[in-house]
Amino acid sequence: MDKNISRIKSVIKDTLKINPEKADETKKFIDMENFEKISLLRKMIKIRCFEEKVTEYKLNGKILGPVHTCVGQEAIDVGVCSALSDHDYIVGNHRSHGYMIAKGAKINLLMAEIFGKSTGTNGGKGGSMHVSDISIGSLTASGIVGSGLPIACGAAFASQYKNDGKITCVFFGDGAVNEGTFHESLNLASIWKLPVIFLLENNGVAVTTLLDQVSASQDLYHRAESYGIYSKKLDGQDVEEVYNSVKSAISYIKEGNGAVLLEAKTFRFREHQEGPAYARMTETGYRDKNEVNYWIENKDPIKCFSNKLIEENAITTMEIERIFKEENKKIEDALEYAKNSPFPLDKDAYRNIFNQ
Amino acid sequence: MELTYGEAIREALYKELENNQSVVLFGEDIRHNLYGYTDNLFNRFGGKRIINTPLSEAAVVGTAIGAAMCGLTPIVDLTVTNFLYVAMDQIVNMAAKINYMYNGQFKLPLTIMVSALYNSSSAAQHSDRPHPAFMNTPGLKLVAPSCPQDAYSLLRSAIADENPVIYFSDRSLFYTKENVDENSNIKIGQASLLTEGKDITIVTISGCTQMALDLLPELNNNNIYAEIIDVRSLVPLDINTIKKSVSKTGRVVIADTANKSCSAASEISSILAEDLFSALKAPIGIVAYDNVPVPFAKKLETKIMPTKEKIFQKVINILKYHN
Repeated sequence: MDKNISRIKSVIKDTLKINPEKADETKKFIDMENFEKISLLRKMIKIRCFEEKVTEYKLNGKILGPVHTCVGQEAIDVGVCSALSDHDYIVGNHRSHGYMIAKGAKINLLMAEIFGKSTGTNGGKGGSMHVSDISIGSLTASGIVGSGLPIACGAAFASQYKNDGKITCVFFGDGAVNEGTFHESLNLASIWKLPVIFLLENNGVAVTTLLDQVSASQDLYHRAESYGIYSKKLDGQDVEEVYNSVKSAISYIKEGNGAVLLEAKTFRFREHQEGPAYARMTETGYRDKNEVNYWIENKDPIKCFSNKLIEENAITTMEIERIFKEENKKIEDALEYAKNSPFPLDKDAYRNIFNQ
Repeated sequence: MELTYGEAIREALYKELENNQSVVLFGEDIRHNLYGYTDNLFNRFGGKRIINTPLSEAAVVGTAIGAAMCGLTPIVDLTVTNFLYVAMDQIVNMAAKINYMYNGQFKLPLTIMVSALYNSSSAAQHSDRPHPAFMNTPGLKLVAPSCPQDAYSLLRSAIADENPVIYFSDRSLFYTKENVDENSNIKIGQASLLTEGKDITIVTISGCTQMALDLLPELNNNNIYAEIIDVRSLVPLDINTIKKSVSKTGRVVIADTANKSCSAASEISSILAEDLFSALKAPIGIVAYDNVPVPFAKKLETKIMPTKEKIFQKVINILKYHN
């Protein structure tokens, strides 16, 4: 146990500090108004409440199919999407709710999609794993690990071709770095200097396979160096650090330097998916329960940021409780919306196979 | 103007690049025209639009998909058919499903070009004709032109289409030559009725079309009048044109360059058996590659592949059949 905790502590201690050349950006953030910081906190709380509700309805059988929640990883989704502009693109993966909410997706439509309703973002054709909404700049959400990276290169290629100033950010996990598309995409992004941020959420585990079983190095950002791509690691539990790092990355890209890879060290608080088959995995001991508890107790991104804001006198405990209450109410409303929405019509099964 | 099949491909690329600034061409060795249909494109349109790529088929196809979703009209030249397999995940899990899974939020004007390189002593890997595998993947359009005019017009239609299209050219036809009308528009999904006849329908796919046309004098000498239909487009399949002909003739031979098992021919056969059983006067005949990997030795490949002679024999057998 001690060994594990000291390893985790050293990882956190070792996370790179904000790029000193970009100190201006950092200062800008520190000078942010309290309400802007509170807005980051509120977005993380919104995601947490959403995920808890979705889990509840997955477990009671009302939501069908695979559901992957991002509990514990909210700071990444919120830090990244808050630093991006509305018109920037995001490319997702199977764990798709968090960044969608952070990028501004309507939670009613998101919830309706997860319930397979016709009012959902994808008209009930995608489900939890494939929620996507071009109106907020979200492109694909794919269940094939690593398959989003080339798509992101393509979106960035289009932006570069049209000179539209948009940035594309692709989210993927540590499981994706051993896929060929990771290497091919980094190489393409490097040689073509594409305006893309590779956002590697390193939660240390791919379903039940620990990173140290599949990679000799636990610091994956080094892999980008061999492709000539600027990369660094950061504390993925710290929403301010994520936000600042992405802001710096955007400036770097806008100066014409090409792609950036950010490795956010994080932890998956729950199992890979919600449901009994995955809950069973907890008991197999594939990962150390003490380690899980350590992260939940000490590295919860919402708890950490709440404490920080309270220390800064930016917010009170009561106000945070109120935010939780307000966000929960919105999730309840979204749930009602989803439940009351109609299922798709039979004929919808035959629509949109092709663009007419 | 008179063009070979390969020149027709080049002219179609040129025309689309010239007419539409959003068209970009990705491919391996396209800059120096290794495959004979990208001559002068790099000099004319520059490296921003004629992009010589690394050997990264999956990422290049994925890049083209992403670019198509964000407003460009990419063409990917994967050269030989077997390189489709290297990009299979992006083609099958992404390109084919994006329209459906995201419920029509995106346009996906993507063209993937490949050449079938059979009957050329290229051995098992480079000789594949895998179009049927993609017929079983809803969401992809598939075309297989068999003459310079169709090569030209179908490529232009594929590039203009707002869906992913795989363009299967046939290397055995690359030096066939004919007058090509640049203004002839062929919609994807239209079969071509090449000859009219009363005795039998011969449905052909890709290079088998030429084999059937070459048979015509011999058939006529035997007092056999065949209706030859080139499907041209495998998805969508113009089954109505085929059904109309088979309703008239009552007999059909289907010739496909694919391996026989689960081929385009067997799919057409299955539809006819299901929908047109009462019109059939004889069993449906299929001529295709036998189900073995393509051998290198010319003698062995000739043994297993569809040929003019095999189509002739099958036609005779079907015509001989009487209840």
